[in-house]
Formats: sequence, structure tokens, C-alpha cells
Amino acid sequence: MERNLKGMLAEMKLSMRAKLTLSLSAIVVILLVSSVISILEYKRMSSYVSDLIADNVRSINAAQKLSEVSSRYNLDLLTVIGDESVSTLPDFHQEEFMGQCDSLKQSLINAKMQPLTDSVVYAYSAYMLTSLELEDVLKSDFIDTRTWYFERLQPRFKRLNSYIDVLNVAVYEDLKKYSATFERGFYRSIIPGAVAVGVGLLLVLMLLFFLLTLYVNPIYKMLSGLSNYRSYGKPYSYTFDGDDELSELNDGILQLTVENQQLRKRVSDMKARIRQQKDSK
Amino acid sequence: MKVQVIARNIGYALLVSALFMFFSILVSIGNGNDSALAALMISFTITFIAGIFPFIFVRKHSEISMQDGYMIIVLSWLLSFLFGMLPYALWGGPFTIVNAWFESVSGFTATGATILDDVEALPDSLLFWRSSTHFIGGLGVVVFLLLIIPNSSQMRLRLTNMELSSLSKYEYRSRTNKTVSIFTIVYFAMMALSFLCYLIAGMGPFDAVNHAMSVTATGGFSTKNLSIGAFDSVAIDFVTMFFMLVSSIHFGMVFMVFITRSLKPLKNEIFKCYVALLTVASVLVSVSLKANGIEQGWGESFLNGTFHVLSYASTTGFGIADNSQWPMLSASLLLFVGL
Repeated sequence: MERNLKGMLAEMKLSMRAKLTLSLSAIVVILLVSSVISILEYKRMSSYVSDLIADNVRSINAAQKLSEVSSRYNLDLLTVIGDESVSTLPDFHQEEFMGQCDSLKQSLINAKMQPLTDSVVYAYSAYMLTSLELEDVLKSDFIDTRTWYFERLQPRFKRLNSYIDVLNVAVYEDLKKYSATFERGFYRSIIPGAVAVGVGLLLVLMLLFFLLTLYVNPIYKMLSGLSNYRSYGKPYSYTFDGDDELSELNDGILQLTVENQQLRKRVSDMKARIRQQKDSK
Repeated sequence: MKVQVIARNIGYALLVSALFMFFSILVSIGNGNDSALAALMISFTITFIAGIFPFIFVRKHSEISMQDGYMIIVLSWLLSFLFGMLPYALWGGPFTIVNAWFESVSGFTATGATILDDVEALPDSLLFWRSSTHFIGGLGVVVFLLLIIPNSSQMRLRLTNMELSSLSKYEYRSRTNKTVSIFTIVYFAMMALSFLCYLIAGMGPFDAVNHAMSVTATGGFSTKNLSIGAFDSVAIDFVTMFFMLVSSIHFGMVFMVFITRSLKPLKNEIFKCYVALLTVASVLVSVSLKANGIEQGWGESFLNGTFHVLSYASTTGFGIADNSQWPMLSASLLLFVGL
């Protein structure tokens, strides 16, 4: 049974159609599979880095908003402190204050930003709580409002702004890093596609070589042999090594030309005999 | 020069690489689809198709010329390096195109040098592929190819003569056309035996198979950053030393030892000289280590000294200690035996 199988495998021949279909399919498969994977890799990398960049931008926005809210509130306080005719304290919007803090915490990008974000939130809380002392300061006869501002509130305000700046710088650094990662990822994700195209081209060249060597050149030689036979009566002797329809065609042509040659010889012999008989009569 | 014949035979070499890429894919799937799965699948697809392509058009040829034979050898190696770098390049990480090429060539030539700072950061499937390149290259890309070609073929004889060194072909009562079979049997048997020995010595199955492939090929790729030293096991050290020694001996000799069940085949001048050199170097290195206070005890000195002498002499490159701080005498001796 093993011998039969081996024999069968040895005799198994691929037709011209099968060879061309298989070879072109192979090239298509390479290009298709690798292109699909390349696109998937690029999409994956793209969405991963896009998400990270979006988180970064959200953090920056939250920190900026905190900075704006606190600056606006600080200006309102300064107005009260500077203008003695104004006695109404600016609103301490507790809900907005808590909302800003939560927004900043939620926009956390990664664990390493946690301490920086916490610092901003604590500095903001400290500033806002200190600002609540203004009511008592205004009512007090012993504490100078301006002195209180410069000694108590302004340092906290400056600290808040410096922590926000540090957070912003860290976020911008991360943004830069992720942009670089995206760029690197972009090139990496096109490598499978590039490799596939390269190998595909190589296979196309190989296919071209095989087509020329195994099909085109033999066809030209067969034509040349036929032409020589028909024009000059040279015997058709072209043979080549093949296992498909083209070699069968060549064998057929060879056989036909031999038979044709024999037929011609027979015809010319018969003609010669008839002439001889006529002459003898 | 028959390009078709060359292409077909190079196809065999690529199919061998594709087979081991497929094994690496199985490792990746076994590990829950690690990060190298996509890279290995693309590499396998490309290598397999490139390898099988010539078979579509080219029939089996039993006759090749000398020219064709040389081209087959050279191109089989080169294309194995090229396709072998695909898993690394496609996976990324520290593997730029140049780094991937370096790692591939180092693997297939069983050199063992690496661009990696952190080997353990690689996924298991990629580590397996890395060791596979040693295994394929250790025996010889073309020898794998020769396994497929019929025994009686003149092509097999011609390629055998071209691929193997003249020293390898020194007959140990075997005909030339059996040389390939003998080498292959010994190679695979040693790999299997070393794998079993590593398991018994306490190594995990994955590490055992990788180190078995590496030590049989005398390549030196390890799955650990500290090489064999990471296991901190005297048993594993001894297993490694034994197989480094055996792998560096002519496989024909090893084959005859097993066939005759005696050590008579080892009684030849080359082997005696080799062992003598190793012994002298080991003693000198060990004494140097002890005398310079690098190692505290004589046992440790002899273990480290002998291990590294064997590692350098066999060109494997495994290590169990940091020998960059060793005294000049030891370092020089190691370089000398490595020659």
C-alpha cells in the first residue's frame, strides 16, 4: 500500500491550469493575509494611542479649568480686599469646586500622574479653604486684610498654580512620548505589509521566470521547429522536460510531424511508382 | 545553471524553517496567544508559500551540477537568515531590521551572540523560535534538506560533500552516503537525551527543550538573562557540561560508541588531545580562580572553571558566573581554548 501511495504521489501531475491558479493564489494569499494583519495592527495601535492622547488632553483641560476657576475667584477676592466699599464676599461655589476636583481625578492618565493630580487637588482645597477665612478677617479689627492676603492666601494661590504647571508639563511630556510611540508603532505596523509586498514581488518575478522558461520559450521553440519543418523540411526534433499539457502538445506535434513525414515519403514513393509504370507502358 | 532546480531545493530549506515557525505558533497558542502570535503567523505564511512555490512548477531532479550545488548551499543559508529574521522584525520591541538580521544570523550559525539586554522579556514562542534557529543551523540548513533527498541520489552525495567539512566526513566505518543519516540520528538523539536530563535535573519543560536545542547545536541561546547560572543548580550545570562536551565531539565517534557499546572509538589521537587540553585548561583556570579569591572553595572553583572551559572550547557560550571580572590568566586561557 505504501508503494502504491508513493507511486501515486510520484505520478501526480499538476495541469497548466492548476499550476497557474496555485501560483497566483499563493501570491494573492501572501498579499491578502499580511495586508489584513497590517491593517489590524495599525488600527489597534492607532486606537490605543488615540485613547491615551485623548486622556492626556482631558487632563490638561481639567487642570486648565481649575486654574481658570481659581484665578477668577482670586480676582473676586482681590476686588473685595482692595475696594473697601465692597463688602459682599464672592460666592464659594462648593459644588463646582468638588466637580472640578472630581473631573481632574477622573482624567487621570496613568498611575504615575496620581501624586501630581493629588497635589493639585490638595493645593486647590487648601487655597479655597483659606479663602473662607476672609469673612472673619474682614470682621476682625486686628487683622489687616491685605496682610492676610499676602501672607496666607497668595502663597497658597502660587502653590496651586505651580502644581498645575508641573502637572501640565508632565502631561505634555507624556503626550510627546505617546506621539513618538505612535510614530514608531505606525512604522512597525506597516512592516508586515512591506514585507509581504516584497515577498509578493519576489514571487511574481519567480512566476514570470517560470512562465518564460517553462511555457513561453518552449512555445517559441515549438513554433520555430514547426516553421523549419514546413519551410525547409527539417525534421522536428525539439524536446523539453515537462509534465503538463505543454509537453503533451509537443509530443503530439513530434508524432504528427513524423507521421506527416512518413506520409509524404509514401506519397512521393507512390508517385514515383506511378510514373515508372507510365514510362514502362 | 538550472535555476529551477536551485529554486526547488532552496524551497526545501525554507520549508524546514516554516515547520519550526509552525511549532513556535503552537507554543504561542499553548501560552494563550502571546504577543508574538501574529508575527509568527505572518512569518510562517510567507516562508511556507515562498518555500512551496517552486514545487508548483519544478519537478524532482536527481541530477545537479557542482555549480548548482554551491548555489543551493549558499542561497539556502542566506534565505534562511532572511526569512528567519521575519518573526523578530514583525514582533518589534528591540528588534529593528538590523537587530533582527543579527539575531537570525547568530541563531542559524549557532554563534549565540545577541542584541537583547533582557531575554526574559521575549514571549515564549519567540524564545522557542530563537532556539529553533540554533537547532536548524547547528546541524546545517542543507543537512535538513539532505534528509529529504533519496539516498541513492547523486545530488545527495554532491551536496553532502559540499556542506560537510572534510573533518566531518572522516569515516568511522560508514559509507559517505550514510554520513548524513548518522549525523542526524546522533543529533536528534542527543537533543532528546539532553531534554530528558534537564527535566530530571529540575528544569521546567519549556526551558529544558530550549536549552536542549541550544546545547546540542553548541549555540548558547538561553531563555534566561543569566544563562545557565539563573537556575543555580549543580545538577543542571553538570548536565550542560556533559552535553557541551559530547556535542563538540565528532558525531560519527558518538555514533560508534553507542553502536559498539564501548569507548574504543574514542581512543584516537584527536579525542585524546582534545580531552587533555580541556583538562589542563580546567585545572589552570580553577587554580587561578581560587588563588585570586574569585571563588572561595575548591569545589566552586573547579565547577566554574571547568564549565567555562567547556563552554568556550565547544563554542557554546553558556555561563554560570560573571567571567568578565576573572583574572588575566583565566580569561586568556578561555580565549585560547575557544580558538
